[in-house]
Amino acid sequence: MTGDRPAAPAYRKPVLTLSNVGLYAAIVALSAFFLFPIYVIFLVAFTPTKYTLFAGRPPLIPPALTWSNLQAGLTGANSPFLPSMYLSLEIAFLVGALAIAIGIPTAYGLSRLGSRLAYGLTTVLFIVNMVPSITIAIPITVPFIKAGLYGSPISIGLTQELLALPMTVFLLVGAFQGLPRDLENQARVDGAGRMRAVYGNLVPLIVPALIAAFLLSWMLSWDESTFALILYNPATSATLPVNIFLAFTGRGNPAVGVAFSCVATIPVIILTVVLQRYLKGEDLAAGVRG
Amino acid sequence: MTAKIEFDRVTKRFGNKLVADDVSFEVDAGEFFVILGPSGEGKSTFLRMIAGIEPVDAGSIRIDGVDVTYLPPNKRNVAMVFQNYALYPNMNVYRNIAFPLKMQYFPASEIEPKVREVARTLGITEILQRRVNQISGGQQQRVALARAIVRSPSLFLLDEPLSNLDARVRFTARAELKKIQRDLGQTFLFVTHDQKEAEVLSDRTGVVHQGRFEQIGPFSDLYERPATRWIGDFVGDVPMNYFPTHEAGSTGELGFRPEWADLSDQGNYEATVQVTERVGDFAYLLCTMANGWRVYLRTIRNVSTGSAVRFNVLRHVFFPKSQPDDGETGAKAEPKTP
Repeated sequence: MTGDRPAAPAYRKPVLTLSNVGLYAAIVALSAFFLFPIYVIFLVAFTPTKYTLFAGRPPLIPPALTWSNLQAGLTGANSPFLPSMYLSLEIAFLVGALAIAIGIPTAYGLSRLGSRLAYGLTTVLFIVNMVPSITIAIPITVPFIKAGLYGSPISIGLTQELLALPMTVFLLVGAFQGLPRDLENQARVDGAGRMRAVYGNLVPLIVPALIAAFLLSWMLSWDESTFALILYNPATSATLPVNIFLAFTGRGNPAVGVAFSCVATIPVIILTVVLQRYLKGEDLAAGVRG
Repeated sequence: MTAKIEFDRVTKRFGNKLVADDVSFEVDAGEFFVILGPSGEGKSTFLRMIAGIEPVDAGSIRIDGVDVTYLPPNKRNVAMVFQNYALYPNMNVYRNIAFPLKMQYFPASEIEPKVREVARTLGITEILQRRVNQISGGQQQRVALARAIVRSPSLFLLDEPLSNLDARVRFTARAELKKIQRDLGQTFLFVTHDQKEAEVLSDRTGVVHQGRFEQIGPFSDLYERPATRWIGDFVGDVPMNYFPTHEAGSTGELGFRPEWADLSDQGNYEATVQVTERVGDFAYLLCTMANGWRVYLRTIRNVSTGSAVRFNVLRHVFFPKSQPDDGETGAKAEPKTP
């Protein structure tokens, strides 16, 4: 990988002029709009509850800061935090990994069918996603429960996979179809079996799509609460979204919910930052002409 | 080892389009065989069927007497250079060339000297560590060729490997290719739509038209003795001339190339020059005859537009009128010298 790469085009430093002041103002306003809910999460998490959850008019600027909410939520006696976090992570990685493992052969197969047939079949996969998950959750979870598959990470992961897999397959079919067909042919002629050609020559070229699919599946699972709520075992532990839901409803402790909400954002941010450099994929572009 | 290829009544269709219509032909071991034809005739499909990446609808293909019709591509020991070179973008030049050896489980200690040697032969040692998208088209073509050569296959399939090159690079690449084939002594099957390439490279050329080989033979035969009128039109820079005629009891057409006619004042035919085109030493004359026939002539003299010329046809090819229902591509041409 020696250099010789063409220099990046000269980057022009943006200048704050009268004409683009409006643009920047709009960007700031839009960012503020999207970041506000996250601000509220952190506000509630780090402000004594008497100013927020138990106040008639909670202030937007915290009058005082405290760690006690987080301490109570995360390390307090009987706090479900650690097992819950662990369960959520376990399921999220399971869903992401399974989506990739099943998605690659499925998408490869679909990409080798005629494009009309491939799109037809991919659409069929999406039927589960088209129906609101609360409607379809019961018919899906009943056989799981009958089979004794509830409460375990595998059972929750498998139901969430129903939502993650179509999206993954859709992404990967597009990625496979974007590769020149002759790359696979060349590998086959050069002596590679089909498995080797697919996993050794094609899959490395769609790494950005794989990362994107993994991230989306992971986040879908991290976020998913319908299946996780129906299939969780109260005797052991529930996922983070379920615990947050339980904390804010019924007899839960809202401070715990807030602390969980606050902490739940962190793994997503870490994972995205770690994986985003693979998302660019500029190194893998081109190389094949025509 | 060098391989002989046999097509035995091979048929291949894409939808309604017949790409190979009951085709049988042989390529001899060590031969440079060019498949020539206009774009869109499915020439590449012949290579793809030999390589095993396109299934055959009917018939069989044998390489060195072994029926490979249903063998997967990785079991055929055939090297192929695709039109777009299909270099692996995730590997550098070295790893691209080493790939076929790796697939045959050569140890790394044996792979390295082989890759270096073939790189030296093709003059690409300096770029071995480069990424394949950082090298020029000519270099990409050499890398693709190196990857084909390195594994010492018995058969090379090349699908228009020169068509993506600039005119000057193409000229040298063409000469190099011929030298490589002669040095290796291996069977080469080369697909092109460029008759110059067929003329320069081939031992024999097969011209594909409507799913059949219209004619197979040394390129000079295609030019001098076209089997059908279609070949006469397709091969050569200037179209042939055709006069309706009777010969040997059958009606048909008499075909002759411009240089087979001789301008002379005692000529049997008379024509009026409509257009003159000077190409190098020669002038091509587009003329019309009194009965309305158009004829191309060639001369080294200066002839002005509008003047009358007389000429004799020194040599011609007779194309019998094909029967409307025989479906054959036409009878063999009989070269005649009156």
